[in-house]
Amino acid sequence: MCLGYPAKVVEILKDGKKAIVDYLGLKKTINVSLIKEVAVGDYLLIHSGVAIEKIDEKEAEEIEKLFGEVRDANS
Amino acid sequence: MQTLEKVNTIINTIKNNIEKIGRQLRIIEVCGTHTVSIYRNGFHTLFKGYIDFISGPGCPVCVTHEGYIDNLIELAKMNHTIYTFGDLLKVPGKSMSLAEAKAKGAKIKIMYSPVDAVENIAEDEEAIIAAVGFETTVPAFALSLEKVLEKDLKNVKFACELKTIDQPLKILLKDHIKVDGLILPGHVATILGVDGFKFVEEFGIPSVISGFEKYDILLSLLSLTQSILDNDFTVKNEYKRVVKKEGNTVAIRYIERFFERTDAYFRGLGLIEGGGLRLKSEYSAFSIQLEYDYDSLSNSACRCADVLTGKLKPFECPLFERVCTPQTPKGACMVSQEGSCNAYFRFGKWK
Repeated sequence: MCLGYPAKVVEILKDGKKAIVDYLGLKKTINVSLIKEVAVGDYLLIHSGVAIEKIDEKEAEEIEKLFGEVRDANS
Repeated sequence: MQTLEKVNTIINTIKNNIEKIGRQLRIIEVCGTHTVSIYRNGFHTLFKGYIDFISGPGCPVCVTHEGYIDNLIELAKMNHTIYTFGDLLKVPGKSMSLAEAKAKGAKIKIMYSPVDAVENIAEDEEAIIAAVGFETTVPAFALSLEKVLEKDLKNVKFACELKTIDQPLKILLKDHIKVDGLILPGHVATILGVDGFKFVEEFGIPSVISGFEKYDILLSLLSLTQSILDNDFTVKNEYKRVVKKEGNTVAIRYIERFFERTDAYFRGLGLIEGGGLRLKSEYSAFSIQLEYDYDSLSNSACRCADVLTGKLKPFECPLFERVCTPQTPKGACMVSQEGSCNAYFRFGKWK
């Protein structure tokens, strides 16, 4: 139940409380009331339709790079 | 290949650390999503003889009492519409689950998000939102109540069975279980921050806040074994890309605005003082008070309680795999995808 997924902000809607995010090509409208200063291009952790934190892109990229390398090495 | 070597180095360092400690470690993961990641990625076999993984009571579905389900079904019979996360559907009540009640015509709707649910509730619907979850999910319920207030909806109520992580963890560590280290729930920590888990340090047990990918788990085990070697009881954070020291302060303020502590029943641990959250009295008009007998779990052969307190492995339960499967769950630990019995059933190589 505490599952979360990372998604990229592609559009912020008018009232600033909602945004459209892209998760693996799927576009979804989510609530961003809990996030300070959200901007297009940010990565957010989404849970139950609500963004619960901004993901530190640099840290995330490093982890993603490691995963990518492991995947490539295994394929 | 460089990275594979890196991964192997981490695995070997973890094993070397454990050899230096000189015994098999008992490590408890509190969150069900960690349980799944550990079993799906085969860490229980990779570290066999080195680490005995124990699943704690951090899955809100698994610790939900069947009486809560019975109450929701009763309310559905009284012409209310129940909005629930899909996870709860198969949890057995005394006579049936929400899924069975739905099949018999009860008005039970699955919600993806309580905030979205409130937007779509019809005016003539007497809606009850099944509010189940730990601190990760509580802000979503707070936002949905805010929306109810904004829209001045009179036909929406919350059936709160919300849980907090600190009280059960304190009781588990104090009275129920002896472990060498803790893997702390990354998404509860996203809300509460590293600071929200500082209380663990008082128990003199090393701990680490972890993400959920396989690399996260490995780095967390590395950190944890190092802390055990060093007798270092500081809460470590290996999920820095998401978890901040102070947590999500906006979310915490939302929780504090709408909710207050209450006693709560945890399957496996019993009634825990301050273990739950209810709506503050000024919002009582939006709350449905549920009452049920905490001590009566109808299926006495179900050993969920012992599984949740690390006394028993899922396969040691007499019902496991014989009559209790993810298709026909007898206890909540088999229902949820994040339950330890369910994870063992799907990924465990216990045979």
